[in-house]
Amino acid sequence: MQTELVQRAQRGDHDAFAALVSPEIGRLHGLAGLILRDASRAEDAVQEALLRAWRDLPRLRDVEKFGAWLRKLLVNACHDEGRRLARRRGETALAPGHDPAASGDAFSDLLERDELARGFGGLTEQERTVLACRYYLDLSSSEAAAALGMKEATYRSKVHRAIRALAAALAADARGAPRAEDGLT
Amino acid sequence: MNDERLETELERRLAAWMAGAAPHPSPGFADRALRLTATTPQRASWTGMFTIASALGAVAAVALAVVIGLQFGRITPGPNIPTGAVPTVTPGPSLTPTPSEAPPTPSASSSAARDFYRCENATDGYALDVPSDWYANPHVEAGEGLDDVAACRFFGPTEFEIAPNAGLPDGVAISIQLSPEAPPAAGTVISSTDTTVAGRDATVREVETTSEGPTPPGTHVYEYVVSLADGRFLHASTDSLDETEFAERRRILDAMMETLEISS
Repeated sequence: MQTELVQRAQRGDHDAFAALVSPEIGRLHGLAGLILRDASRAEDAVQEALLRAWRDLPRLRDVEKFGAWLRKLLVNACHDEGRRLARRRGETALAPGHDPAASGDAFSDLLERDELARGFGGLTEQERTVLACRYYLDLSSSEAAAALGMKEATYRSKVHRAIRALAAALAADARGAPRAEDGLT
Repeated sequence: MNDERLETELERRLAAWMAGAAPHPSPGFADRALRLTATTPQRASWTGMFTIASALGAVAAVALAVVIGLQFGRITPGPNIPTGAVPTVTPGPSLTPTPSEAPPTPSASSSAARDFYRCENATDGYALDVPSDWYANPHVEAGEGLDDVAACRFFGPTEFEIAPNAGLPDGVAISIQLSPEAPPAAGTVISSTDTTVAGRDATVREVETTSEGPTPPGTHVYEYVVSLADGRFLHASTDSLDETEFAERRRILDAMMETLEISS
């Protein structure tokens, strides 16, 4: 069914494209929100990923990989969005310098509420990305590695390192140590 | 609790937290997003592009054969082909000619048999397609005194990691850089053709290195030099000592440059 929808969408059938991606938009937005820590920028990233998907769909040869391809487009769009934000704020990095509270949306406020949210928010963008693919989308290592354009072994290693970094951040938070972003303006 | 059990517990907490904390799109977002895609044109499929390229290549080959035949008297035009009415092919902006041969034709290992993903270098203002089984470098933030590395500057079939100001790792097969001056040929020029890439004047050339440099003497280098509107030059190149590998990398670079879009 999905294969047929992809093939129809490749031939320019926008209704087929809509049927294909509509059920995924909520999850894609959730993933983007966790990566970017900002709900409105997450919408920008999802919008950009959907535009790229529709525009470039005729060039996708392996229609079975549509899902992984769409996730890869979204992750790339998130990174682009993150870099745009960093440039606008005159910083060289989104994380850990990115302060989601500065964007003032309800999701940003939610992120500051508990220690796990603060620890996750203090990770680098790449660490948040690998963890969100694993624990939010519940992708297998091979699926997540495909979405992130890396080898499976590399992905597993990055997940492990990200979990360690999160554990360290939680430990520091429990000790009352200042977070990296507290020192940035 | 040992480290492993602590990590397992943390993973469980993290999954539960993410399920509740991930944001939901605003009401009507999906409709708005899909209305926008509905008004966006799709790009031509690779199959279509290569069919056109192959057809033009065939026409060019016929033209060349006719010219050679006329020149050396081995063939003569048939009754329906007036002498001198030789078809010519002028590649447009979407076709990238390769020096001294017809446009690329698909093969089992060529770019026509691949999926591509879009890679955007927002820092330098360009985007292009990359084979889906190739790796592209992400943006690399440098420490103090070092230079950041913009995304989508280095590409290769195996994973690699770019460290600022540390030279190129082995896995890089194709690289792109912007420079204020047009880079000179780093050896003997085997072929050089003026063309158009992304609507800009460009030169595509093949060079064989003659002295020890970043690559050993005898390395074949295939490169594009594209003039940008701000006076700088975009230099995209690949090289290899191995003929088969060089031919494959060259095909991929051609395919990538066909999709180049420049926003700066």
